[in-house]
Amino acid sequence: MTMMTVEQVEALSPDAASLKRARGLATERHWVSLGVSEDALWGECQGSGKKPYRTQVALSDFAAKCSCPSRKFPCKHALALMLLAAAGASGIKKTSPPDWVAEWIKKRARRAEAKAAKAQSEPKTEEDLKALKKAAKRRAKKREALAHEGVQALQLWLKDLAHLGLADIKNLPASVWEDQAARMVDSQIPGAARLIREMAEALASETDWPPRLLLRLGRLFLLTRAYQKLESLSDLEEAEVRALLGWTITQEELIESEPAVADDGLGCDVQTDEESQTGVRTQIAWLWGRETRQPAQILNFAYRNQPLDISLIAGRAFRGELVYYPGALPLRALFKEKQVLDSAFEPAGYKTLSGFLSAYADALGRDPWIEDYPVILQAVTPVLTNDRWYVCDAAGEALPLPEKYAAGWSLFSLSGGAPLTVFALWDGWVLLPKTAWLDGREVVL
Amino acid sequence: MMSLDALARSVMLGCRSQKHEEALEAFGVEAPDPETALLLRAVVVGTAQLAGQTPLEMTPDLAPCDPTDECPLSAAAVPLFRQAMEGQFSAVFPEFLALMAHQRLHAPPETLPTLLGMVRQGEHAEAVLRVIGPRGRWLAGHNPAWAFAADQDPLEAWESGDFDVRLAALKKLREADPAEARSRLEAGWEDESPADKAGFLAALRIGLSMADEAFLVQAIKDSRQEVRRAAGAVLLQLEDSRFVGAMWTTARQCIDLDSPSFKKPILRITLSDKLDSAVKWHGISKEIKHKKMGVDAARLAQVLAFVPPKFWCLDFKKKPEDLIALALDTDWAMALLRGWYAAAVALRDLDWITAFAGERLRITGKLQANFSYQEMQALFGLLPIQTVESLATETVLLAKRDLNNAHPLLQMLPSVEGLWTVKLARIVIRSAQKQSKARPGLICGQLPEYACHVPTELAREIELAWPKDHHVGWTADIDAFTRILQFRKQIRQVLAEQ
Repeated sequence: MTMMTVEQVEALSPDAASLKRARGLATERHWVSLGVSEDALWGECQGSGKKPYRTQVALSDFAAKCSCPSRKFPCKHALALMLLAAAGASGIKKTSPPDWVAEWIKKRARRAEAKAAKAQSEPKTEEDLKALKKAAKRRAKKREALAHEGVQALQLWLKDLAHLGLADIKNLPASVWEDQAARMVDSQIPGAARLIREMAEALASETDWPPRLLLRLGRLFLLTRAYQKLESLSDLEEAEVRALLGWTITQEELIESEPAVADDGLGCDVQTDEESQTGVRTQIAWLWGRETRQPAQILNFAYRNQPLDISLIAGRAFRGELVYYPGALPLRALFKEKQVLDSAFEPAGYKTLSGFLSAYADALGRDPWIEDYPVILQAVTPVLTNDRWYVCDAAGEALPLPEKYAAGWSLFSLSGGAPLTVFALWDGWVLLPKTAWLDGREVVL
Repeated sequence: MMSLDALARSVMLGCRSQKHEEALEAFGVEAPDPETALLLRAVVVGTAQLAGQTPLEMTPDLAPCDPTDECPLSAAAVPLFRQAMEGQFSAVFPEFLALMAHQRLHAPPETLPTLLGMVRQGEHAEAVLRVIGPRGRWLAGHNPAWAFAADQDPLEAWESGDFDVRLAALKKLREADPAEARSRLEAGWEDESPADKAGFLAALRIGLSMADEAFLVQAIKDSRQEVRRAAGAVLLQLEDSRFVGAMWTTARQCIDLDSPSFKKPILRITLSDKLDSAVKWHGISKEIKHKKMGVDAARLAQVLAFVPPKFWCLDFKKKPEDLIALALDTDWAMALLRGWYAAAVALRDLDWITAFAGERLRITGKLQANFSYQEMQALFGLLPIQTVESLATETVLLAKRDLNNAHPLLQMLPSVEGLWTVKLARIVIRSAQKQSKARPGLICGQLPEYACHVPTELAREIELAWPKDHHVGWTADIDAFTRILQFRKQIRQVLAEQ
């Protein structure tokens, strides 16, 4: 049976207010009944009404259901129930589930079976298929036309910026970037909109911004040129360009068309960002394969309080099959199958910084648009020199960490002056450590 | 090839000023216009630069921390420690630190920078320094701001450190060789600032002996009040010192016990001329310390503050509670009580502290008029828990009344240090549970603070005993109380399994 820790429950909370309210309910006196089985955790929480709310959590993936009217997911009752379990509440006794829990578990199993069956179901009639294909072709043609116009407009805009010069670009009002990003969304190339917004954000935050901005402008321009010459690119390169501009592929299509890679994956870093204007939340999880020693980026999207994949937590290991999105340098992937492992593992990666930079150069050769390149560095030691943190390998080679890196002293303390394993993101200039391992314990920095 | 930095610098003003041919030549790219040439050139140069870079060469001279003496917290305890440290259960943090110190466990390495920062801010300083372990001391040695915690030669630290480092060094030196430490302090005494002098004087309590008297007597004549006060507080600990003797003689000349036959004894106060000379010689401030006291009363109170209060019991053959009662009957009540209070607290004289506490808990008592709420809290903070239990039993169980919102013990309970006894916890929490159907008052608001003191073995008993139909205004505080108690129980379980 997989039980949760308080930290994991906190990570599942849709917002701070829910967690705060859940903490208020995480005492046994609020619960009329509590129980746990191999598959589920459940309880009846006495609310303001006569009937207590029935709350249940599936232990396989921490999916939750509650009879309360909350639109948040998981609701405060489910979070409170999990907090109680994490605290080892003595009232949660192992027993057979009541009917309402058993029924829910059965339904979930039936739904999973139906989903699998649907994926393998027979195709529709030939006529239906033809009509579907025709409609899809029409939509694709229309989108292609819109994208071409958008890309042309983007090229002109980028050339205008180049004409203006970096000094003046720095002083442009935020609306210039936002308006252009909105135009790209209208042209159905949301990937270009994202790159423009990121450029504006980086411009405001990076200290050595001129070369970085210039490279970002150049890369975006190159992307527009690549799109205009798709016919001369390989299939993988075309997939890369389209993915960057915002073409998507459904999960079903991906699973059908790409091979799956079986391995154990370790959650190295999980972040959730919310775009304040749209309310879209993006979950970015970096996994590292035990055998493949390769990274995978899992992206999940949700609107406001809709659920994300709440089983993805830093420090948790999974066994399953990953399918990578096609591209010149496949990083993004999705789970075809996954199962949470009871224990995590310390990942293996590069032992020298030269070896890592050589791999990075190779990756850059395949994909010139790489932004954050993930890496596991084994046996590196953090060092502070002239008020700047570095990580140093056994060969006496070093890479810089960001200026004023906030977790520098924590990382240094973890190392105790001895080499340790670090998961980091390399943006070509600085290495940003996200996680480190000490005696097999994962520490999020 | 031109670097990306150089290229960026060259186009700060854009392509406006460049002719087409010049631009194409400068950027070295076949392109229809200078802007296209620049943007493509940026990709070529940038990609080549990023792909072609090599690591920096660095040979750090770093002595690693010796891991042999480390006693790390278990993986299960680490998240709880972080929760307490990061503020979610900050009230429980001191207990967590104490339990760790008791088990000789060390804080997780990643938390050490935050912990050392806390010490620098004066938060939980002593408790934190007991759990940083060898890694914490190793880490402190690499950051001058944390040098006070480093494994540094105390003599060297005393000579070269800032105030925190020097104070820590002085304490270490006093522990090892009090005389040597004092002579080091004396050597540079004139060059120290008044604030530093006061801080260093307090450290002389470590290894204090009559050998320190001469130096302290000199310090008590300092021109600055904070130095005089600090020196007096240390001298008070030396009961046989000439200073204490002089104060006792002066005070005794002002106060006498008149015990007429068959009548209640009376404390007679006669201010002697020597009070003024005592004030002069021993640097006692002439300023009035309390708005309800006159100049003479303030001086008397200050002299009494430098006399061990047990001297009065021995000389007058009276118990502290009797003397307090007699003082309350005089016009000099405030001067007498405030002087005795200050001395009792400074010397941690439990007989006197208990007597003051008992008097404070009398509903009809007059003591509260003479002391602030904070002063009384400080007093209760020094009481052993068994004494608090006795006081509670006496005022609650024997008097057959609950701790209602007007009960003075309620105000004082949060300041009582350490874990309550089971009996005390039951008295207090059962009182709260009985009152929880009424509108919330003081006892309700203080529940989260009480949760830090209640023995964790009572957690379940208490949780189940809250009336289901308690007043809605109690809910948040009952929940907070239960959460804190549960968290503490969890800490103890996890540490016990370690």
